Amino acid sequence: MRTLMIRKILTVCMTALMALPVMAQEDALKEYPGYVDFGELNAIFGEPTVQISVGASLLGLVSSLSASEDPEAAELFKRLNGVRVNVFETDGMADGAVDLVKEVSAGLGNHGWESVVTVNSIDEQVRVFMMINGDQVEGITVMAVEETEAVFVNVIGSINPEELGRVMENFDIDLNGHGHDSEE
Amino acid sequence: MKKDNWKDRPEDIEAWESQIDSMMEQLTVEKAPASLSRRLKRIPREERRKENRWSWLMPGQLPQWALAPAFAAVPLLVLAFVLMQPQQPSAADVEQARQDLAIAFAYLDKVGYRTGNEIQNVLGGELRHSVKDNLSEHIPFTEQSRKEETT
Repeated sequence: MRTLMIRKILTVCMTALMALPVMAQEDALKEYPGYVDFGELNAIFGEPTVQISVGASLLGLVSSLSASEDPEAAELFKRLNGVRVNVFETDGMADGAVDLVKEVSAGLGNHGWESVVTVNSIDEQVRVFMMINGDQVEGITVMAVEETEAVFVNVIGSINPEELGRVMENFDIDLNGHGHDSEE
Repeated sequence: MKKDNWKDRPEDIEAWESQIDSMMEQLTVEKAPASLSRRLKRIPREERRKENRWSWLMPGQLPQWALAPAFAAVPLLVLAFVLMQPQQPSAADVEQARQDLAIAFAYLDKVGYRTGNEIQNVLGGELRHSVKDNLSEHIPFTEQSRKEETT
């Protein structure tokens, strides 16, 4: 009986120890006002085709390495705390997708996020939110759900929109490699 | 000289001995105070308790069932320590992060472009520009989409 209890305690301790670094990283991002909990995306859309989560430490390194070739991008990355992207390929509008977008949107509205863009059509749901503190943007959240694809983006950190626009112009990426094309 | 003299006289020695014996007999056994007796009696009990309290630290005293988890905990603690150490990302990790960021921004732009199309469908081309010009003050990727459209 006693041995069984000790084994149980050890199992619990082991699980907790293994999960500590992952939990710590996720918790670190959760502390920022620009963090958004999208809920159980996998339960609705299945496995993501693109899943990106870049934390503050990697952003800092990218920033320092980009300083000479793209100082503006380096400056932007330095002030970002995290970038999270989840992309799901869908075959028709997934059940519960619209409800999820509306539910998350309502939650964001209650937490001080400003709705900037809303597209509400039968075959497309788009929401763009910004967390604005004074004249500083602390987070951008994009949810775009349509029949073939669902995209969830969360940029966390101090963002200067103009600067972000200029940096985005310098990024020339073809999404074909990921099964998507920006020129659709 | 006197010392030498009494050694020479056995009757004196006997007298001394008998005198000492009689004095010893007159001595009574002093009783120790009750508090001291109690304290002295407590010592063996307390020593035994102390020994039990720390005996589990001695490997020889541990039961078999306790040894296995104790040894299993050592690699676990080492593993936890290693995992808790901040890991320095490699050059490949940083390059991957750069690509991930580019993809993330591409998706932001893509959504902006689609949103622009949706606005155009609803409002028409002329109105689209005026709406997007205002939007682009806040959302940079709509500005970029507008540029793409005009080119």
